[in-house]
Amino acid sequence: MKENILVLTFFISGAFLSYFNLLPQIFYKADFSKYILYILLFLVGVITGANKRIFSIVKKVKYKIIFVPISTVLGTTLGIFILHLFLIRISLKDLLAVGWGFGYYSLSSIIIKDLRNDAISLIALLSNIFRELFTFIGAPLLVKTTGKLSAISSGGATSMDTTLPIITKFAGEEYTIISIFHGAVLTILVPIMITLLYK
Amino acid sequence: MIATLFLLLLGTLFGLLIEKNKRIVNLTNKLLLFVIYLLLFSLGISIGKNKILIKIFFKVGLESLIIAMFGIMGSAIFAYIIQKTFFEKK
Repeated sequence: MKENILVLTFFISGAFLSYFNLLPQIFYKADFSKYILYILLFLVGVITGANKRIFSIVKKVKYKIIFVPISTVLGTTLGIFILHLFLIRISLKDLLAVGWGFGYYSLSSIIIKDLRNDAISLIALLSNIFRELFTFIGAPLLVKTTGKLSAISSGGATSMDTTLPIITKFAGEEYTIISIFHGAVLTILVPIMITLLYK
Repeated sequence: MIATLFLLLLGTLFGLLIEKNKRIVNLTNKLLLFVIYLLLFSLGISIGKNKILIKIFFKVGLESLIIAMFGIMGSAIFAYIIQKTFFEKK
């Protein structure tokens, strides 16, 4: 939660400084985001590879665990398709790119900025922050109405780190392993799916 | 596309190598957070530059919220089905 506020502070101060032209000229001419993205992708890989638990989890828990990330991908996609019937201002492709961020706002927004444009990138940033925030607030409600797995599903890629404590608290400790596995799979899928979408 | 996959794979291989070295893993976690801050700052810069985008911020904000809610609802429905079929069948 503290990190979320810090992230938003950085974003808002960047926007504020550039809107009022308070930055050195170089920031307006050069765009560093692509290089920062490359560093980020590498680091995401390192974190995943160094997480021994992910590999042991796959071995320990039975095959059915794989249905959890699959259902999140299919469910989110279905939700976006339904939304597309009402929200026609944004193309289906862009809506899918935003939805396939699965709560991973930093990575998804920067990839979309790189492959699409600033406007969709902003929507991806906000929408995926909302997804994470809703999971924080809504986890107890989700557990009660649509079951324990739905809290994990709602957390998306964040179910392995930021929303893990809240999921463990309301779904129970036996769901921690599923939650970590689910988040890890989606974390890897976010950059791959969004990139494939725009190619 | 190839760069994305290559960097992810390279990172994963590197992660597997350093997995036992707690200090490097901790450092990577801190570095990751720092890079995310840097990234959001630069994203802020590029959005602040775009005056039109700032004007439609609240409209876009509402749309963003709606997209998030539909994504979550779809996921929750599928998760419910999976829960009933595979996790509570005894």
